[in-house]
Amino acid sequence: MTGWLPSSAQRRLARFVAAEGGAFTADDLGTVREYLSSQGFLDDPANNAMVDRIQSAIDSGRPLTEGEQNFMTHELTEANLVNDGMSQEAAHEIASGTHPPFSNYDPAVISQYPDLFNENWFHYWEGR
Amino acid sequence: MSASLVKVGHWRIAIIDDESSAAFQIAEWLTWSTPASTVSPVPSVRFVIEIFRPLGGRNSRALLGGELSKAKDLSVRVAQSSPIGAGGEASCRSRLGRDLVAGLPPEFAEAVLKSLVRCLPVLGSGAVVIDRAGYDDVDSSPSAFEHAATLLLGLLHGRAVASNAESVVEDIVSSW
Repeated sequence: MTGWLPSSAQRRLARFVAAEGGAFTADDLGTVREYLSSQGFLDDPANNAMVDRIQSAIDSGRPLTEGEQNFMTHELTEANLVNDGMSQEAAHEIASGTHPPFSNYDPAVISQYPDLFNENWFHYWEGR
Repeated sequence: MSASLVKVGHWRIAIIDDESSAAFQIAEWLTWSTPASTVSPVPSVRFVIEIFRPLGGRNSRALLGGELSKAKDLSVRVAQSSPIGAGGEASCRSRLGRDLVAGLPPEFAEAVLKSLVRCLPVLGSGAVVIDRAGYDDVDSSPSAFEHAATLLLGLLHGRAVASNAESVVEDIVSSW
């Protein structure tokens, strides 16, 4: 599926997919924070809340939740593809394929900012 | 249908005369009215606007259109479609990304009405009808439609008083 990507991007993508399970590091979060900041995406309170939650989890040793893992996988994939020269829009489409739709924000953050998400995001997490 | 594209900060905006593919099956009308404070001799004017902002983990998207016409009162009618669902048919043309689902689900229609009522006094008098909309089942949100409603009303009013559309967009979007 990713054979058309540059080999460096394939290696990085493989690394991030392999990291699912919560093995993200403070360095990974630093990469995500730097990427989001460089694109102006930290203006978004939901992104800020996700970064803060993940920082807190890494600091305390708490395993990342499903939403936190998906957020990290998405943002690391997108950041590295953009850093390799891909447009943000194309990188976002590929990163969105690394997790089910509506699953890359923690439900607590979705509930904290209900005006920033539509009902599909709430429905995804209902009963999980 | 002519369209112009404007970029303000992280936002991309399409200003369109009209977009027939954004017409949708109306389930209900949300309405609001009040006596006019002043009577403004506004001409009838129609616009459709589309807004897009990338946010990393998702985007912020909305398409909204309608008409301002002369009236003795100050009133708003917002057409509401059926509720949002995942995987709706994307039959509404987008100028800024993948095509959208035509419609204005209740969660977005309520945000649009709230935003219009807040900004409406700028008109003095007139009737606003919202009857075009398109949404993305991942990227659209009440907040995106609130922004779109503010911008659409600014453009309708701006056209009525012969302001330049692009400068109206820049003024409003810069305040977001």
